[in-house]
Amino acid sequence: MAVSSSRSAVRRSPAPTYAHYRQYKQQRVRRNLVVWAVVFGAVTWAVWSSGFGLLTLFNGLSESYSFIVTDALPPKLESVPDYLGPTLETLYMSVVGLVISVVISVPIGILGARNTTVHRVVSYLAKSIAGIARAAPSLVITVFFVAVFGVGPLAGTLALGLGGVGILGKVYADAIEEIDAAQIEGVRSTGASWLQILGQGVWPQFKPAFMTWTQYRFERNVRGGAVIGLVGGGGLGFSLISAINLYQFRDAMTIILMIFVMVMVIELATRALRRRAI
Amino acid sequence: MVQTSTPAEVGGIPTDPQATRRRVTHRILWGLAAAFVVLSVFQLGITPQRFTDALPRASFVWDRMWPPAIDDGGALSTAVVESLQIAIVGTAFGILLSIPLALIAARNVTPFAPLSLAMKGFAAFVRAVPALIWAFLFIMAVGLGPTAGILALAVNSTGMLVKVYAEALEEIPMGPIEALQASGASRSHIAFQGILPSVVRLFIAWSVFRLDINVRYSTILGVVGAGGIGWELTRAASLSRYDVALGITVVIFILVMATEAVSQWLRRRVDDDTAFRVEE
Repeated sequence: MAVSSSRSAVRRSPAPTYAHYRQYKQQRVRRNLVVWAVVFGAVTWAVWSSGFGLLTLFNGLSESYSFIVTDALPPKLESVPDYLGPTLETLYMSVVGLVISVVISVPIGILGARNTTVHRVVSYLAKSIAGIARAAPSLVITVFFVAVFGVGPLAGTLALGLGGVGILGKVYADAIEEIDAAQIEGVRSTGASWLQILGQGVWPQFKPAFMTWTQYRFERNVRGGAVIGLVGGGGLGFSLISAINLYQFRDAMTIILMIFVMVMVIELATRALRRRAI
Repeated sequence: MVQTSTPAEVGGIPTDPQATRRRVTHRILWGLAAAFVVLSVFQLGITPQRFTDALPRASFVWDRMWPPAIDDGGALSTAVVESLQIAIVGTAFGILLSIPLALIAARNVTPFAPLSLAMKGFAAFVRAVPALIWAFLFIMAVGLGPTAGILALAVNSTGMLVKVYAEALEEIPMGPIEALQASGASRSHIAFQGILPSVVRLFIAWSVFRLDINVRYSTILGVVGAGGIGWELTRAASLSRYDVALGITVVIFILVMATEAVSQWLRRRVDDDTAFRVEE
């Protein structure tokens, strides 16, 4: 029982003393011993069986450092214009992927939230769909879309779109569940239909969370869009893997820096836009 | 619903110039956003025809996908174990690297103030480069295989962990530390009795969260050749064995969901452990 819970609790239990504290500490150590033993065992097993030690870590880091300095630097600034097209393609993929995610996730969120769903079973189903989508990494989805649509931005866009449903569907439903029921009741008492309740009672309260999470997903899409090309999804990732396959490491470094700049610019831009648009 | 008129708006005509300007900016921004979406769709060449053209191919892939199959159980289980190794070792070394760097990055414990800013900038850079790009850099440097994957996860984890560890350190309550100082505690006493207890919970919670993320990454790192189960997936797809690819996807699903369950349990355990309780 917590020391500071309620007056009756304090009366029933003796005042905490140093002896109590010692006893509590010992109990805590005993309870956590198993967990720590398991964690320690897992780390020892993984380090020992993979043969990856501190030495490998520092060797790997120093080898990478010397590789970058000798083979990949300086970046080829003159080839930046060649990669502006793929950069834009990555942005297009992120935007269209986001629209796909939102269009699928909003119904899932509304039907998944317990307070706006049409039936408990529907709510459970909607949440399960989001759960499954969340467990599938975008890159795995891309592999299948590339098999169907071939190499190119279309496969990447669809994978980003579906990949976003897992997270957006879940957080939309969570956000809708947290809204104030009294306002919905108020709108309902005017005789509003289900759609009118959604528009006038739910949306105004849901909008801030919607904007925040959608923006977050857009930023994730830009990062994801940059790497999805590595498995054939188009965009900068595709240029990167082409450059690496041709041993053009300075070009590869240029692309990596452009990905970095793009991610940073998009983050700053969405933040500035958000301050304006809300 | 009937639009009510506010003082700024008489008969539907807005009179407050600021409100008008805001509304106009809103409309322009949303219009631009919509225009950009349309432009994107055109630039990506997404037409209904692309989908109808892909239909035969889609039904071919779909037919070969079912039922999901495990082709080579031995190789697959080796790959799963390798993924877990990459995730655990990558997280462990990420934590190991992050703790000293976070001590430099936290404003209130840093030995030299400009270093704190430099370290935070470095962490931001590491975070902004996606994990798979790090994997590629390390593959170029040390060759294909799990070593590149472990290095990528260790470095990528550092970007996030240095930030959150430093933030935890910066929020240490000064009260207990001052009390310890007043009682004449030594520096090591202050570190272990004052600083450690107030950050250890957050450190553990974030580290467990990062392990969760790293297991997800470890399943896809193989797609670019950095070891683990992702490699089996790419191989199956390139051999058009879509049933095997689907089987591997199911294994990845199970791996990710199991990790989520374990990490949730660990985090709940940490939360349970916070309050000093008196047992009756």
